Formats: sequence, C-alpha cells, structure tokens
Amino acid sequence: MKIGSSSTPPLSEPVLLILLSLAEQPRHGYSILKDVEEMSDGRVVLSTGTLYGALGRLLDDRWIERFEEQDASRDRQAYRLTPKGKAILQAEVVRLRHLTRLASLRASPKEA
Amino acid sequence: MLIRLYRLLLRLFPASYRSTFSQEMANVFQLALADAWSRGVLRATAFCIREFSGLALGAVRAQARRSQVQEQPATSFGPAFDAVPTFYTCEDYAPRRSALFQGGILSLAFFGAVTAAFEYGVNHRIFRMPPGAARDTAQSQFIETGETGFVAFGKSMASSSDGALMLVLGTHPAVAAIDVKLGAVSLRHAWSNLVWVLRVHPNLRLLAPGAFQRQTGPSTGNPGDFEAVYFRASPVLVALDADRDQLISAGEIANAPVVLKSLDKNHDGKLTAEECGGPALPYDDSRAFMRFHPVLAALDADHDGEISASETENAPAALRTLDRNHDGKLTLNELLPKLGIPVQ
Repeated sequence: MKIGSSSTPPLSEPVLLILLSLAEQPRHGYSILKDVEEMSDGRVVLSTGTLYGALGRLLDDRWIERFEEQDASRDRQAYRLTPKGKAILQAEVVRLRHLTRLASLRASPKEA
Repeated sequence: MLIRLYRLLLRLFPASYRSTFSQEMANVFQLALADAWSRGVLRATAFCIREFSGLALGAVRAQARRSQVQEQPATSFGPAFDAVPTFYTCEDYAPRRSALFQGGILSLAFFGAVTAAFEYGVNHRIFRMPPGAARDTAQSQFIETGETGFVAFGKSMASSSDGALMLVLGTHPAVAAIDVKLGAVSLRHAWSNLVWVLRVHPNLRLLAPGAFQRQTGPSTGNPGDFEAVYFRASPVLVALDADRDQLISAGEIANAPVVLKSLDKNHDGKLTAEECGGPALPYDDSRAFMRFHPVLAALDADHDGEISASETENAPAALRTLDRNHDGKLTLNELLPKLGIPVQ
C-alpha cells in the first residue's frame, strides 16, 4: 500500500481518532476509549468490540505496535504508533487540511 | 454476572484473536462498566446494549476477517455513479456471503436476547428509579400500580375525543394521556356510571384522585368530588354508609351484617361480585375484582370471590381491620385501593 497516495482510502472517523489518540502518547485500551470520547465531545463512543477490532486491524497492517507497560502496577498492554502509522496519519491530516481549505474556498459566503 | 456474560461472548471470536485480546478486553469492559454505573442506571443500560451489540458485530467481523477468501485490490471500491455515495472501509477484502448470512442470524439472535433481557428487567423493576428519587414530583401526584389488577377512576377524569376515550392520567409527559383503545390500559368494564374499572398492567402510573383535584382546582362537589363519587360507586359502600356522610361510622360498622344481607338479591345467603357492584365476570376475574376493593377484600376473608353467610356475619370484625388509625370509623383514605403510595 502506497502511503499518502490516492490508493490509501480515507480513514474512518473512529480509526482516525484512535490514531490521533496514540499520536499524543502511547496508551492502553481503556485510555484510548476515554480519549476518543473526550476528543469527539462524546459523539464517538467506542465499544470494546469495536475498539479491539480496529486495534487488531491496525496491528495487522503494522500501523501500530503493542508493548507491555513497564511502569504499570499490573501487566497491561499498551499501544503506540509505528513510523508507518505516523506517516499514514500525517498523510490523512494533509488530505483533510486540503479538503478543509477547499471547503472554505467553495462553501464560504461570497462577497457581492 | 455481566462480566461473566461478556467473557462467554468473547468465545465467539477466533481463537487467535481471543488469545491476544480477550483478557485485555475483559479488563477494559470491567473498568468501563464501573464508570458507566457511576453515571447512573440509564447510562449503564445504554452502555450494556452498546457493548454487547458491539461485541457481536466485532465477532462477526473478526470471523469474516479470519476467513479472508475474496481478496480484492485496495483500489477496487466499485464504480462511482452519479448521486450514489461510495462507501469506504479500511478493509482490503470482502467477507464471504455465508459469513454475512451467519452474522445476520447471530445479530438477530443477539438482538432478541438483549430485548428479552430488557423486557425482563423492566417487569422486575431492575431499571426502576431508586426509592426517594423524584419524590416531590412522582410521589405526590401519582399512584403506581405494582401488579396487574383493577383500578377505579371517576368518569370525570376521562374525556372523549373523536370517539376514542382519553384517560387523563397526569402531567408527566410520558403519561399525560393514554388512549384506552391503544395504550397500556385496556378498558375492562364500567363499574357504574360514576366509577370506571380498568384492568391495568404492571408499573403503570395513574394520577391520584387528590392530585387530580389539585390540578383541576377546588372540588366542585358533584361529580368532580372524588370522595362523593367513590362512596356512591359501590353498592356495598352505599349500603354501609347509610347516612351518606362519606365515612363509615362505628354504628354503621356494627350494622354491616344487616345491610349486606339486603344486597343478596337472589337470597342464596352469599354475595357475588355481581351483587357487590361488578359485572358478570369469569371466576379468576371475579376473585381479582373482590381483591381489588379493600372493603370487598376484607369482607371476602377466604378470597374465593364471594362473601359467604359466615363472612357476612363476621363483617364488623373484618371492617375494623381496615381502621388503620383506630378511630373507630373508616374514611376515604382507609377505603381506597392500595396501589402503591398513599393518596393525600
């Protein structure tokens, strides 16, 4: 899959929010769940089934990686972005920025 | 129990998926569940519905992903037609048709189970408001039916609109009015011209007579005065309240056997539900009718749906059991059906 090209389909909102959550810092599952809800002002509330389904796909595609938190009091797996994941997220941000710029040009009220 | 159910449903996922994520998912579910409970019962209910339906869908997706059989290039999203939106996913494969079919059946089965569980919860008061909540609004204005049974209401509390009887139940938006033909209340029969008797379903909230009078202004006496209506509605109360002062005095209680015998139209020595003011009813309904009214329930001591000769003779003692404040007389509050909270 060619990163940043038109062959990369647009990311769904939950996947984008998960990647954005991990872009800030590595997180474990519950932390991602809460962060996504907070980022979207409660609009996107992931169930654990949806979250781990997405995490599984992102792991398979090597966009994120899993590691064991060292400072946690109990064994807890955390997730972080891989370089490939960061590049895809960056490409998506560029795409969205382009769309936003286009929208502001075309959809904003024109002066008479 | 929910966590156990969650762990059970995790078995729907492929083994490889389970070995990687199941423990972690259960831990996250436990944390999220505790958080949802702390926000209230409604949030917790919504959380459970979302979680379990999400889990079922996730299992279907995981199974479909495992069986990836129809690889298709990432660019083949199908032709885009005018005005037809193109749907994108992150998946680079299409699930097998049989997997979709099985997933549909699984989703339907799960939806049915969740619906049945919700119905069970509603009927068993699992999702009910905790005691004391909304006390000012609910408790002061509504009586609440705890079980299927009969309830009486004055004819003045009902109005007719386009031929459909509308029963004014209260100011709460959820129970502002119920169409008797369509709603949770089914019109059973008229007890008399003044008081109607309805068969009600559990957990239905009805406007208390006192609240109705408060809502519609001061009592106008007749027929809006519920007390007067109530005492005239039942032949038994009419007979017992000889002086028409809307209470049954000590003397009237002592004279009960004599007046009750006057209601025995066929002179068989016992009073049936019909002779006590009810219409002809099947046996079970007859017993329910006699249990509904406190006076009839007290008189029919063996609850067989009839007031026998010996029960008629024992009427004074039976009526005195209704005298909760031990003042020797029976007033409206002591004679109203017990439907939950006391009526002001």
